[in-house]
Amino acid sequence: MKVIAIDIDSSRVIFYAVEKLADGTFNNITGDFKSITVKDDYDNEEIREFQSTIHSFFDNLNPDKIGIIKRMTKGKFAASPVSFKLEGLIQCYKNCDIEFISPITLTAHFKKNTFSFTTQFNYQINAAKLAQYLFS
Amino acid sequence: MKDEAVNPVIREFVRTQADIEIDRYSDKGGFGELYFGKRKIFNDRVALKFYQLDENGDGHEEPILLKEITHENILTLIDARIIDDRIAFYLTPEISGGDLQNIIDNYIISTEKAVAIVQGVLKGLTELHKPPLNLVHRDLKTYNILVDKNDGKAFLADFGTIKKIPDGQDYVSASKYTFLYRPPEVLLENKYTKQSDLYQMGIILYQALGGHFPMKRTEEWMEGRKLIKFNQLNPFEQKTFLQNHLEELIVKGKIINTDTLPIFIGKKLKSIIKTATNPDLQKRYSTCADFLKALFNYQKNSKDWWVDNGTIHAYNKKTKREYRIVKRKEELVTEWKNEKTDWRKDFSDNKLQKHIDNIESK
Repeated sequence: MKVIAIDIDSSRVIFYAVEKLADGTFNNITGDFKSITVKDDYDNEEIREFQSTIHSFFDNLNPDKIGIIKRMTKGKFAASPVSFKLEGLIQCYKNCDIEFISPITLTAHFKKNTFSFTTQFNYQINAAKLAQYLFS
Repeated sequence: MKDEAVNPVIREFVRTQADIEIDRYSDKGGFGELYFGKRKIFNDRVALKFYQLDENGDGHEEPILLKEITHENILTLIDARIIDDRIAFYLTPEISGGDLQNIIDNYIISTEKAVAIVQGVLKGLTELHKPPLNLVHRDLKTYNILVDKNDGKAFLADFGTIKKIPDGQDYVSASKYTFLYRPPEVLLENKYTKQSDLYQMGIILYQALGGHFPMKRTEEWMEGRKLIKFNQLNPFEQKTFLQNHLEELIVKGKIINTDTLPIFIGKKLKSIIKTATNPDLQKRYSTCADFLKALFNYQKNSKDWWVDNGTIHAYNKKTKREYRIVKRKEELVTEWKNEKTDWRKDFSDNKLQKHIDNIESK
């Protein structure tokens, strides 16, 4: 089973992809596709290429699950509108439905479970937590 | 149609079609004969590729495969028909610009167009590579990429060499069709992987951006003692010597020379080419997505460069300014214009590289 977990931070999309092997161990299959950033979300060509590049990443892995960490849409701590624009583009992927998981759900999950995935960079931690949650 | 050498059955067939007006023959059809014409009912241009069947009437793998794969960067199959027990053909749209080799032989395409062509093919290639298909093309080259003249869209063509990577394995044996595109791992171990397709895409990017192989004089491949030795050999020995030398260059990752690229091709694009063609599989892009991501990152800050009548031009899509580097009174000058203004002086210096750097910094 393969999962791709996604954390969107403004115009940067962070990925953490994991495969569960037959012996129950986990294999990080993110490779070099750790994050991708959009510079100008009003540039049509850049947005098109952003979408097809991400979908190509999904196609290469052929995941069973793709999850995105939910962000606040309203209020003082609302996420950047650009992040929702990028989220919509990711959601257009046809070969696998996208699940949305709230940070509260993740926090609750890791109160009862130990976070065991390793990350190369700190910015991947939330996506890695989501990946582990998706296997639960 | 200059198709005198073609099998008479095919020649007779193309001349007796009521619904397709066949008007052109091409000898670039790989292992098959290639004709072009216009469908009378739909008034559109089509390509007919004829291919041989074996004694059992088998050999339809290519059109069957094309029918299974639907992607905007892969040539669409319209139909396939059997003519007799040994010959069949399939029908696809004719792509107006022809193959990429034909384009780069006749024009220096702009950097943006070259990158867009490679991006398109990589997207098509993603479709082949993705599980559970797990197909490798094995013969990616400029002749097998078709480009639409109107919108610049690229299509992956010629599926005669495609092979499925068996489950539990990550390689197949290589095809031995185009020497200069053979990846190092093929020469060393005869293993062809998905990354080998990416190696060939790296060579295509190099060529599309204006990089070239020394094809006119074989001596250009060599220098120093190697060249002296080469010149002392008889023609038969020279052939073997050259082949060994080229294999050595491929294995060392030196088959391409980024110095042959136009001066405006910057470090970022050269680095992408070098990563894609790296002989070390650990350092090469591992998936089409990684290659696409590198091109995506490049494009975010890139300028579009091209040469028109010997003058270097660039376009900054953010500021919507066009630049050109021209000689004025023995001095090189960068000039710019936009939709509202005519050419204005921007910068002067006698070193061309400084002009390139100046435009890139905008």
